[in-house]
Amino acid sequence: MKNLLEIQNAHVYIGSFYILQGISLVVPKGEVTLLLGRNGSGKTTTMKSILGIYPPKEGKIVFKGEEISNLPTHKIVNKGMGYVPDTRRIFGTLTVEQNLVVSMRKGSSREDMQKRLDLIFDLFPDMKGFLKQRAGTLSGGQQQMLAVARALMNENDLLLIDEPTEGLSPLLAKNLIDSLDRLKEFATILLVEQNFRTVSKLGDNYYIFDNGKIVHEGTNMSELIDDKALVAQYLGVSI
Amino acid sequence: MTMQTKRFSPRDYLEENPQVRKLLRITVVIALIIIGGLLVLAAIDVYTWNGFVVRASKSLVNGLALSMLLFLMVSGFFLIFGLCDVINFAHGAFFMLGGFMGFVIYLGTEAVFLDPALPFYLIFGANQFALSVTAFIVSALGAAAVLALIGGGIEFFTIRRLYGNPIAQILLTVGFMFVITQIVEIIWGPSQFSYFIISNSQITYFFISGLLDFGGGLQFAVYRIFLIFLGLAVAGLMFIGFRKTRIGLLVQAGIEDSEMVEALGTDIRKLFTIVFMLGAGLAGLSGAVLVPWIGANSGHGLTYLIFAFVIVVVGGAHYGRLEGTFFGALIVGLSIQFTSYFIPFLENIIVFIIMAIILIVRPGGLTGHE
Amino acid sequence: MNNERNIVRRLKVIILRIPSMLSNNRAVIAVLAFLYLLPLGTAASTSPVRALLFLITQIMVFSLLAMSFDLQLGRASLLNFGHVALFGVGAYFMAFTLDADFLPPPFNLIAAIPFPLTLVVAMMIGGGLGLIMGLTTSRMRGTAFAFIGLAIAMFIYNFFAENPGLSGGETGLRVPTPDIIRTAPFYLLFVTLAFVFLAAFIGMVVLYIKKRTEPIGLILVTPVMVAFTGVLLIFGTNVFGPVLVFIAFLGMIFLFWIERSKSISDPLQYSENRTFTGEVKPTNKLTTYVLPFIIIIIVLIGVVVSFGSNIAQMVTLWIEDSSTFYFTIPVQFYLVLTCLVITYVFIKRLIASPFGRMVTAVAQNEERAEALGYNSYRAKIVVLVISGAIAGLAGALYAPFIRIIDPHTTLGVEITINAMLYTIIGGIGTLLGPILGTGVVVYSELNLVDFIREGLGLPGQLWLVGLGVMYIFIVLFMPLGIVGSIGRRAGSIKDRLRQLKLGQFEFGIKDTDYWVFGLLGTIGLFLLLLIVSL
Repeated sequence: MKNLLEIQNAHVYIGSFYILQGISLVVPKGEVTLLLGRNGSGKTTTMKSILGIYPPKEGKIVFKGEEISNLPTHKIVNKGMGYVPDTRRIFGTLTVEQNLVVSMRKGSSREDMQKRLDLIFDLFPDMKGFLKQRAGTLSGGQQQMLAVARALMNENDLLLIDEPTEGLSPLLAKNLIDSLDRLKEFATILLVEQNFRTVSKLGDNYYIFDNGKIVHEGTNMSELIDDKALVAQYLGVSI
Repeated sequence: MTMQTKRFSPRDYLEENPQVRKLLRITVVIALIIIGGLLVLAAIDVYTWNGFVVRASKSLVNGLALSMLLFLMVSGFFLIFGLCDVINFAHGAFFMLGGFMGFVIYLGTEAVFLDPALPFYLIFGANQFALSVTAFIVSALGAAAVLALIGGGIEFFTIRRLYGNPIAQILLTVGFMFVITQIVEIIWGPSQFSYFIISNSQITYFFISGLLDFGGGLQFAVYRIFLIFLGLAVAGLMFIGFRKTRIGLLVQAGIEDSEMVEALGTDIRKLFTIVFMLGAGLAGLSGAVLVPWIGANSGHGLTYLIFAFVIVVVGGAHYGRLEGTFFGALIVGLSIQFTSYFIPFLENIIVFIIMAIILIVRPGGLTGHE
Repeated sequence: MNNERNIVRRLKVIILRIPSMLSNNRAVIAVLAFLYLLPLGTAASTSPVRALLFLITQIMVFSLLAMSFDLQLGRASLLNFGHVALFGVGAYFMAFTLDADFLPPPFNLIAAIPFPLTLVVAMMIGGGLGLIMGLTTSRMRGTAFAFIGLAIAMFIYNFFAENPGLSGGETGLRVPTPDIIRTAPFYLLFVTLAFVFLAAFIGMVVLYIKKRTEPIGLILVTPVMVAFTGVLLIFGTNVFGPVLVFIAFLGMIFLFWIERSKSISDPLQYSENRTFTGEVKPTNKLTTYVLPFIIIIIVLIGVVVSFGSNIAQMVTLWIEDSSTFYFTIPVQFYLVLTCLVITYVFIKRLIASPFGRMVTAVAQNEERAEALGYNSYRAKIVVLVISGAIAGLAGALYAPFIRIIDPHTTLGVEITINAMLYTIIGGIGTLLGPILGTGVVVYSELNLVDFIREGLGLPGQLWLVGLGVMYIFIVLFMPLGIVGSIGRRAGSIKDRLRQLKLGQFEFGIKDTDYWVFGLLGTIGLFLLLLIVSL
């Protein structure tokens, strides 16, 4: 089974708005798939419909060979997905450690937690320093680390990461991308990003969204960067 | 080029001038202290020093006892409101029903314990204190269990269908409030009738009716002092449970962002049902605990529901702070008891006055932010 | 000279507008004419009609309350638990103006306000309280508004309950009937209005018959006129009146055949004075002026013959003894009915106006509405003020009607819950829903409580439990209440009626014909109520 996740012709509505107008994509196992496109082109909605927050009205979503399109969110997630949302959405009133405890699934033991923590400290050594701090008082970069770390608290096969570099300084963004690069060995990643140049070294495949449709797909990021016309048409002049 | 004319706004002005703000705050505090002092002096003048001490200490004890009781009830309301975003109008009815459940279970337990044909008689027949304490514990836990079942049932079968439609949920809980109140009135009569354990019981109880006498008119009911400690103990347990247990953390996280908790793999619907049971159970417990003091009455539902609202608004708990309910309950309980001893005609409206002041001065309540 | 001509021209414009006004508001005029006719059936003596009028007045007062509640909940999605406060202040204000002896000096001056004006002032007070409630909406997020209103209402309730000297306490405050309600001129004013509405109604029927020249027009008018004759027969004092109305009906049939024989243009696109080729048709004085006028006059005479003795009896009794109280029930009925109809039309207009659309937009999605440039805060406040004014009016009408008010029955939270029950059972956001819901609940409460207590030997309060359970089921499964779920099916029923054929006749009924069913339904309902209350 080569493809970990497969979306087949999904049509998604939010309220009465027709957002995704027939999306089909595949996420191959062990690779990083990028979803690119302008604001409001349907990337985040795709993520949320994979998670079952906006289930598709038509079409199928298949994860590890099972159809998950009509399952409730928590069942989908428990099949092995980790979600890093676009505005981080960490729990500000809890400490960093409590945030991580909350993210662990039912039935995980203390040893599991230690093992996952070791992995996280290996990726983000800074986190040791603010483990007992209230999450609401962290800086943007630290919050983003926490948001990624939360998704790593369980054995996940697929990580859904939404705009990780949003609002971060270029240096912090670069560090984060380096960390994500190391994550590739643990899990398959589906990454939404507006700023495609910063993540270009990560990507194995990419899909370009426009107005709720996929307008272009490819496997070679360097070709995309050179294709000025395509970039100007769908990705705007991104900085 | 046109000048942008800006209207003068006192709030913006204070924001821009922190020193003026600080000065204003100090002035207000000093003015409040002076007014308070004058009020105390006036009260001493009216009631004499000894009378003042007796009244003040009684209202302190009663106020603290009432505060703890209100905290128990409102924390249930708060949990349901915070996590499930449901304003549970049936909460007062749960509380009132809990009172009647406590009353019935207490008398039932007592009858069983005092039945000479049963083995319990050997243990409790002579020891009335142990009997009353045991019956009290059974009644409180029993009422909590019954109400938890009712609350859980209501959530599971009806409210669950309407998540995402807050107005319909409120309308639904109003319906349950209405039905529960009417059923209770059919069985136990309208709010003119109060049911007291002591007048219906076969023995007199030290535990419920006992007094601690310090001389000089300083008499305190044992039960009310017990209530203070019970409330503190439950409050402490709840705070610890919130900080230390996984489910407490999940609830706290869910109050902040329930969708994210679900996206991390927790069955939020199950959590909602659990919290609903917990909240209704707390209402039942506090209702049962109220009975030995104030009695069971079908009119309590509405009265205490309104106290719950005021406490949530005053404490700022509608911004998701459990501490808010604690402070709000303290303020409401103490102010009710103090006014009832010193300014009786304000007793019933003092809470609304406090709420109005808080809303004007700090719209977010005591612990909330703007 | 010029000025006078201007006035004449303006008058002419207004008069010329009457026909289109009549045909645009068929249902309202039909129901109005019938309801205005109803109190004429009462004489000085007690009669079943008086009891019926009392019941209907009660239903209409609470309908006003429910409509104002629905304006907040159904239109603006504002759930206001303090709604009763708006009603209660109106009621207490009215009570104080009618009997201000015990108020402290500067306040007892409000007794100087003459009666009809007090209604307006009560509306202003209700609106003012609505404004205060509205100001708190900015301070609370979302649904938390529900309990701020409740707190305000409880504050007012406690304030009145704690001051028995002011509010009458447990025993209640006696509200005297306003003097003007007991006077014959006021009664005669409404009687005149009744005749005006009747003339308008008959005029409307005549216009309708002239417009719809295919047989369906006559087929639909026949039951209306038969019902109308029947009502006169039941409520009237003699048989001559109904006979005259029947003659008028024959006149209508005559008119119909004349119009039908000369009709050349498309009957659906009928034009009074133009042929279908566009030339000006010579006006037919007989069918345009003479016959309709004669028909209307005959009907009016018929009504006078039917009810004249009742009216004369009441007026003579008043002349003999001006402290008579016979007028209170019919006049209060008229007063409340007039207020209800005005409110109904006002709310209907309001909803259709740009402001109404803005309120709907705000209620559906506040953020989006604000992004579109609407001021959602202001929209909510205006809705609260309007709804407060209507609730204040309901309270002001309620106090003299029920005679004794106390804090519990005018300011208790139960009243809000009642308004909520009426609205939700009838249908949220439907104009007729609150009225119908109130009627159903109030009427069945009156009858079922006795039935449960005496017929079944159970406590009467079981009725309320049943009501609560019904309410819960409606919230869960019929979010739009009775009217809403009928309305959902009405579409398909309408389609079927539109294509109905009876033998060779095309029995297709147009949307404009539904007033017939409205009127017949109303008459049937009242006859049923009358038979039951006998």
